[in-house]
Formats: sequence, C-alpha cells, structure tokens
Amino acid sequence: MRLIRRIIRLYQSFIISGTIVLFCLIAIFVGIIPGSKKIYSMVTGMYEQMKTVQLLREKINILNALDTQLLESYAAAAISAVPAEKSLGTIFSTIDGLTAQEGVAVGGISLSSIGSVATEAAQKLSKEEQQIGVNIVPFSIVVVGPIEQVRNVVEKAVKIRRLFRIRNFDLSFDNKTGTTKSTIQMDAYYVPLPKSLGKITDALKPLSDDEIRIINKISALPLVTRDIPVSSVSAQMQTEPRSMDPFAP
Amino acid sequence: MGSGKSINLFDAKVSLTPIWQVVEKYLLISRQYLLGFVLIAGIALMATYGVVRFRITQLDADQKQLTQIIQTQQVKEGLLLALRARITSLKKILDVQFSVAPYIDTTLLLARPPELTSFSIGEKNTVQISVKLPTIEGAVSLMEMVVKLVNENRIRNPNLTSLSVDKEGLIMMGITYSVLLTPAL
Repeated sequence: MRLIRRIIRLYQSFIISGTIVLFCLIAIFVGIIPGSKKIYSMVTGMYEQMKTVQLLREKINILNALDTQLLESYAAAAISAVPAEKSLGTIFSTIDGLTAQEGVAVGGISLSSIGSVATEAAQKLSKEEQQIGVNIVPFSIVVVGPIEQVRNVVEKAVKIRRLFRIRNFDLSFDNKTGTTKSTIQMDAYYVPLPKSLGKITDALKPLSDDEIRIINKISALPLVTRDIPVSSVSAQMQTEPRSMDPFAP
Repeated sequence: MGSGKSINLFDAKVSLTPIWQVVEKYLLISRQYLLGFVLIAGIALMATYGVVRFRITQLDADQKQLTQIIQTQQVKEGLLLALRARITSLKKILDVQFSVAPYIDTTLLLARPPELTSFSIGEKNTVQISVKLPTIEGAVSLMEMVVKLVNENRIRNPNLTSLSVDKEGLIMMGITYSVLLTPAL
C-alpha cells in the first residue's frame, strides 16, 4: 500500500496529464471529427436546399408571369396541329375540307397500321417514327379531279394546321374526261401528352423566342378541321400531387 | 511522545530523473494545447451546428411554403410543360415537312395530259414520266424545256430512259429527273 502511494505521489502529474490527453484524444476522434463531418454534410445539404429554394422562387416568378389565356391559345393551336391521339376523325374531316376547298373528289381513304388493338405501351415505334420522335398514322387517299386541283391539294396538304406529310403519290390520267386520279400516300402525326409533371423542384423555363416563333407559325396555318377544345388538354394532364413528399426523388 | 510515533527525517518528495522531467514538461504543454484545441473546436462546432440548424429550419419552412404556392399553379405548369413537349415535336415535324408540289409543277412544265401518260416518283426525289407526243417537233420542244429547267436549277440529272415511235407515228419518251424540294413551311 505504501508502495502504491509512493508511486502515485511520484507520477501524480503524469497521471493527471495523461488522463487529460487521453480525454482530449477521445474527444477529437469521437466528437470533433464525426461532428465536423456531420456539419460539413449539413452545410452541403443547406447549400443544395438554398439552390432549390432559389429555383422554386424563380419557378413561381415564371408561373406568375405566364399568361394562361395565351398559353391555352398556343396549346389549342399545337393540339390541333398534332393531336394527342390518332384522332382519325380530324384526319378525315381535314381531308374532306381540303379536297372540298380545291374542288376535287375523294375516291377513297384507306388507313394502314392503325394499331387500334395495341395499347400505347405495346406499340413499337417504327424506325421513321423513332427518327422524327413522333407517332405516325399512315394513310392514303385517292383524289379525282383536274391535275391543277390535284396539284393544289398536294401543295396545301403540307400547309394546313393538322400537319400531314406526303410520303408518295402517283397519278394516272383519264384522257377521255381529262381528269387525274391520284393516289396520295400520307402520314398524319400524333404525340401523346406527357403523363406526369415531373418533380416539383424541376426547373421551369418560359417559352423561348424560337418556341414562340414555331407556335406562331403553326397558329398561322389555316385550320380546315374542327378545333379541339383546349380544356381537354389540361383535363388529361396529371394534376394530382406528385407524391406525399414533394421532394422525394 | 508515544513509542508508536516516529519522525521521518528523509525528504518526502522524491524527485524524478532528468529524462522523466523533460517528458513531464512536454506532457504538460501537450495537455494544454490539446485541451485548448478541444474546447475551441467544440465551441466552434456547436456554434456552427446551431447556425446551420437554424438556417436549415428556415429553408425547410421557405421550401414548404414555396411548394404550396407552386402546387396551386400546377395546371398552369402542366400546360406549359405539355406545350413545350408539343413544340419540340412540332419542330421535328416541320424539319421533315417538304412540299412535293415541285414534282407536279416541273412535270406540268414539260407535259400535260393527254401527252403525259404516266407519272411516278422514285427514290432521292426523282420523277419518272412517260410522254406521248404526236410530232418530232413536240419531242424537240420537250427536250429544250428539260434543258431550260436544268439551267434554271429547277431539276437535276435529267435522263432520257426510252424513246420509241409506234406504228401511228406517235413518239413515246421516258424521262427521269430529280427535283429540288423546298421546305413546306
């Protein structure tokens, strides 16, 4: 016992200093280093959140600056040019209107690859559709009339609001009547509407000048089919909350 | 004075050896620095944590409020996004939208029904026509028109693919040429 007391007395300062040093080392490795890491990650997250908040502020400014009526008129023009579905009715009525305008008769309309049985997901895009990035409804019409009028149909078919493309055509002439029978192979387009809005923190930009130029060009095209109310566009858009946690990835 | 009591005449503090004294000195210095570092770092960390925590709470509240505002304008946002997606598609369509009227225009400049007996379109914007002409002058005139259209840069690579005269003296000509198509819109 006396020996222990003697040792303690002898190394008293070593023991106190050693204990403090050991305590400090434990505090550094258990408290300060993990704490620093935690705070670093918090600061990083905070900067990310600051960016998100800034983005949301900008998004609100953009949304507030949007003219809903103008957007609806743009959407109506866009949807009448390229509907959200095959919209065979607008194809027929447009062809009907176009040929009526030019004073030629429609000898027949035939549709191919309608794909009415397949669902949107089951349909495979053709190579051409993949290239353009839109869905195509191929069809052909037989037009009967003088060649000048047939020429005008071909000319105007690609300059009307319901966008068509002429893939091919051939002409045959009836010398007795002077009429031309033309089989025109055409494509109509459709693009399904987006099914979701994406994340609420996704950036939003107003329409660029180039985009407005395109939509104005489309709006300026003559419409020879009945207009589709724009309410159907917004009605089909998903407006439900994206998820319970709007910031969930 | 009891017999059990004794007086210790030796020095009660036993001194350390010089080496241990040096070690003790450095240990004391290390202790002070370490303790100081731990205290300062601890206080700094706590202060930073408090500030960051407060700021994050503020940002959470801001974000929640802004999200609610945006959610009230979801229809407008959806309209803009749908419109933008459609404009992208429209742009792609317009890029491949060509007027094919020049096929007929150029053909009508060369011949019209009933002289024009057939018309077909081949690959790479080529047109193949068959023409039935009653006189050789008509055939010469047709060829002159072909040269004129080439010079005007309206058609390219004209080829006379066939030329025959039937029993009635009618001249049958087959011509191919390619047409320069222009964007429709």
